Amino acid sequence: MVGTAYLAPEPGAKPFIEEGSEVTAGQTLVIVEAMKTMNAIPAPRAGKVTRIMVEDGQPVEFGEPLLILE
Amino acid sequence: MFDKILIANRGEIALRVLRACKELGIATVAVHSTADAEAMHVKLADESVCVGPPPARESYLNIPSLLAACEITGAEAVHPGYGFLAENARFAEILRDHGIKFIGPAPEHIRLMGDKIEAKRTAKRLGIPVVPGSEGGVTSDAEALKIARAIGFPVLVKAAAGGGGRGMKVAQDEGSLSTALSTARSEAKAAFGSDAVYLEKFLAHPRHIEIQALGDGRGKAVHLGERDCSLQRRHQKVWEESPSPALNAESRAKIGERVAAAMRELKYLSAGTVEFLYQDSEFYFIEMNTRLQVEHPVTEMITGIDLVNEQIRIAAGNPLSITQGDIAFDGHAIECRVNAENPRTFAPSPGRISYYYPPGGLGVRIDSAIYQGYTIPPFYDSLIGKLIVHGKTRNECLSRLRRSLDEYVVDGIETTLPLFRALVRHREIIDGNYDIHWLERYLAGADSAE
Repeated sequence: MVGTAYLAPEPGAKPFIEEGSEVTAGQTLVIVEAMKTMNAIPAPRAGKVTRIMVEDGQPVEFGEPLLILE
Repeated sequence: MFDKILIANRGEIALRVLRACKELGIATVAVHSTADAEAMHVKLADESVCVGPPPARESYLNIPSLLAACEITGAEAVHPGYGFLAENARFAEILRDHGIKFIGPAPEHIRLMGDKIEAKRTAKRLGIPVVPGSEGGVTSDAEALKIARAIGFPVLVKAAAGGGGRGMKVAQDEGSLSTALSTARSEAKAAFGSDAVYLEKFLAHPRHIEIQALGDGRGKAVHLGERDCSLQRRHQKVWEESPSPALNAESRAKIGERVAAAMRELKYLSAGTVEFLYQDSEFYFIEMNTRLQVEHPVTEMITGIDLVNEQIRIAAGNPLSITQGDIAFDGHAIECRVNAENPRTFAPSPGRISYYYPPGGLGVRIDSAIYQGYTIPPFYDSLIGKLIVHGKTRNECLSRLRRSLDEYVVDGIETTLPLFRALVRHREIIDGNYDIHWLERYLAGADSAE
């Protein structure tokens, strides 16, 4: 998806995840805003977030890695 | 004027638009699929956004991704090139709704000309000559005979629900009309479930001649002469030239003015082309392309007018920079569309270009996005370059084209260059003596000679 990545549900709010967070499948990791629509990106499976590769508010393009989930 | 334009295309046309933007001092955003990360249009753009995987419907045709790409880059306008979304009225509408300028015609005009029946009706209303025929279906043989006599033999009997050549019969004279009608009716019934047929004048040996127009959307429009695109294979243009060897200044001015007047009445915006069949000194409307065309450089070479520059200026709300009186036709230009294909079988030949040497010199233009070491991906069309040559006369143009084709080297893949080297030396091409069936006939003859 092409759009703007956000790490928190709204400006100033607590981020969805941090490096080291344990997540469950389906949990929202980041949101990507495209055409004024917030698209929640869910965790494909349970695991530990070892690295977040985008900054809050960063434009992202198709195929760009957002984070590493182990 | 715009500060930043997103180019929603790839290949040579993306580069063509990018060049116009750079000359206008406008920043460029390239979009690309994952297969095109190494493409020249990406390398030369100020910014690039990957919009999807290799299949075009998920990348170059992916409207949400393209809009998001405008959003994250701040592009104010989109140039669609040709193909992909260039004649997609919905795309033009969505951009308009989002406050992004579409560098092309109004969505209403794209839609109007995209519907074949509406387009013909509109052309007729605007005074553009169309193929004469029955207005609707013909029911009785007597009615058919009356209409056929009025439009003149030979006539074509076509299935109203038809397409792809089925339910189509030619009646050469009055004696063969009733057989043609009954055959067409039964074929139409079998193929489309309806035996409704209509009549049209049959053109046995027409040329394809098209008129380039440019309008400001407020009722000002000019024509930039014609292009003769009669050399075609499977309805794909192969070689285009201007002026047409078949027209003189008077017939050019007449049909050109007729098209320009129609565009003024339509309040047409941007570049567009009205295509005709031309036979026995008469023009017959085929369709209108509401976009920039592949062969537009031919017109640019003889008029000195940069059509993409004009499109961008007009889209930004500027008036036309030229009046009809400013447009002069200087010399002759020919374009060859070089494809990555076997020159005999036309089988596609994607792969890596191991060596590349394009021709140069006075009057020689190459519009291409390939380079030495570039790998042509198998996902898109096979056009790898357009060679456009200009000369003071048609003869000078042909000599220059001959030596340019002989200089041109593209190794590692098969190309259609050998076909052009043969064409430029063929007596009938040199004489300008060809119609829309010439190339297919020539290729069939070359096959049977083996």
